[in-house]
Amino acid sequence: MKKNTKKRYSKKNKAQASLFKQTLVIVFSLVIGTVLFFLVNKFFIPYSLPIPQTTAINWLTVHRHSLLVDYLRVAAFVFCFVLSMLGGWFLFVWKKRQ
Amino acid sequence: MVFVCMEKKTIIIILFELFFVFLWLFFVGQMSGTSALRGDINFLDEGQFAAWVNQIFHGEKMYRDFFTAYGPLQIYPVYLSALLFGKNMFSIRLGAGVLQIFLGIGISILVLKTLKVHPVLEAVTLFLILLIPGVFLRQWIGIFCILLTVEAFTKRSKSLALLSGSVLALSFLESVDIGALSLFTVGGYIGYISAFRKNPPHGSLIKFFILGVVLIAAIFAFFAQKDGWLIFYFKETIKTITSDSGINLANGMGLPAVSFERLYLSPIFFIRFIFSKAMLFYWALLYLLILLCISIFRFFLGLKGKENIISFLAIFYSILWFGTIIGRSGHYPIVIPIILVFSSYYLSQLFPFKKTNKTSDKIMGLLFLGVVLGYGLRYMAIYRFTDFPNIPGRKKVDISVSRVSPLGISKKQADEIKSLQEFFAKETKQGDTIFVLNNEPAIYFLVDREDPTAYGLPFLAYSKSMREDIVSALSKRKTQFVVEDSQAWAVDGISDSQRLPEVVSYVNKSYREYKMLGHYVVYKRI
Repeated sequence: MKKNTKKRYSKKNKAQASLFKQTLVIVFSLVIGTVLFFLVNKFFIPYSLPIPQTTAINWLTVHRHSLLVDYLRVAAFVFCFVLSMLGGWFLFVWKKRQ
Repeated sequence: MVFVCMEKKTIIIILFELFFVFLWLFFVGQMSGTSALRGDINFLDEGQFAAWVNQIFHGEKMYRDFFTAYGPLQIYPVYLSALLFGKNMFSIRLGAGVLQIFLGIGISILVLKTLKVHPVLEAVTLFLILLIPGVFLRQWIGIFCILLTVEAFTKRSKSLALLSGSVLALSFLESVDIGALSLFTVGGYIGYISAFRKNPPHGSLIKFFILGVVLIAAIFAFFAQKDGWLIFYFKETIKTITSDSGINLANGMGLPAVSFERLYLSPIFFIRFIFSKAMLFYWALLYLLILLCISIFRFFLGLKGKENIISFLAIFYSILWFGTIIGRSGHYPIVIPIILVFSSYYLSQLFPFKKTNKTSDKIMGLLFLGVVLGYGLRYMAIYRFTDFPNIPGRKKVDISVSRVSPLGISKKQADEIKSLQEFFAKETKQGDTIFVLNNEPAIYFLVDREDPTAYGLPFLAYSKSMREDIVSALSKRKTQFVVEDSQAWAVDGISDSQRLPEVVSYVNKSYREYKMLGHYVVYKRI
């Protein structure tokens, strides 16, 4: 029963949602994701973090650059974009089904 | 063995393609401007392999006597190449460059065939990845492991399960980070199908998979123990993972700078910024995320065939791998071939536009094709100033340089190498050591002299204790000559004198300037 529902859902979605519409949804979600990322970056990610104690001499220590902040930024980037793209698409499919 | 799954015609086509790829790499090369027979030596990238091989030839052992963050499977083939074809830079390039790229492209061809990519798209993708530098066995061995594992568990083939386990073990020996990411990805897949699939794989399949891992691990352990460096391999590997990362990353850098300050100046400035070299790092990540989401959408649309599973796992693995290059963002080109291959798979799902009568869908399909091509071509544009194609006979090169020939290099580089060789042949004897202050380890190989330190690339001696190890080695071995290249490339813009204050101080104290050989300054022990 569950399988049939899923099949119908897939068929229905494929039949109704054109590539053009789905692309529009993804592009729109990407724009939302970009805005979301800039907001997260602005308000939640610190500009810098303390540098761990080390005797290393490299670009990071010379410029007193926190690598952890970079990891946080990339994690936020991934999170915002995947969340907005999947969220946008699922919302679109859900609205289609109704 | 993976060929077992394919038709005879497909196998013949693959073999033909592999033959063509090898000939291309051997005689023409990629857009970086080097082929197996022509092109100047990269004293750093190629040089590090040359230096390690030189040290092995001088009786030293990997991990015990010299530092390397690479797995033995990246170094040993180069050594074997030098044993087979002689102690020259041709052998080094063949083992460290051509072979690695060839195997990487070979795996990408297998992936394209397995995913049943449209022939036109396959040809375009192959054309792009053959020209664009970026394919290496190191990354693609992980994708090969994913491909084999999905094939093995889909077809319930014990032999393929054994092979995929073996490839997983080999991926660890190629590079520990690649091995760990491959293990995480295929382990997650096996765990998922065991827990959630209606008819989970038989236990014997998993046993064969593990047997494959154990088999390769046992062969490796036996060989490494016999050669006397097994324990050092484990020590160095643990150190590389735990200490040589994060803030200690020798070639660590921040993310490419994105400044919006001047974007309001003009639309042209804005467009140039969007497609700038620095932004390509972010484009690569965004592209991977879009591909990941597409594979998830397809999964929810009920498309759970092995092709979609392979794509999802490979893209997921690539995103994980992208995480490891955050501190060294200049390495992003390595994911570009992965993006092109999997984009072509998703595009080939749209490619027969006949399926749809909608003009809008056809336009979208063509637009996607344009985006993928544009992305590949933008990346190719980076190499527009390189000396490509670098084919024999096209221009005059010097093929007479000892320890370089039959590789042909420019007259300028040939003269530099000859002057170094003549000087050290006259001033030193076999068994003597020299030290190269810059990151140009090729010199050790070219002049056939030993490096007294464990760091062919001195910038890898990032900590104070490591830098003191270099000083201690120079002092202990009473190294007579130190070479400094006054035009050396400063890694990440940080000069060697800035990176190695203890070493520079010791050289200034214990050595005096002895001779200038072009832009090389030779110091002699006082």
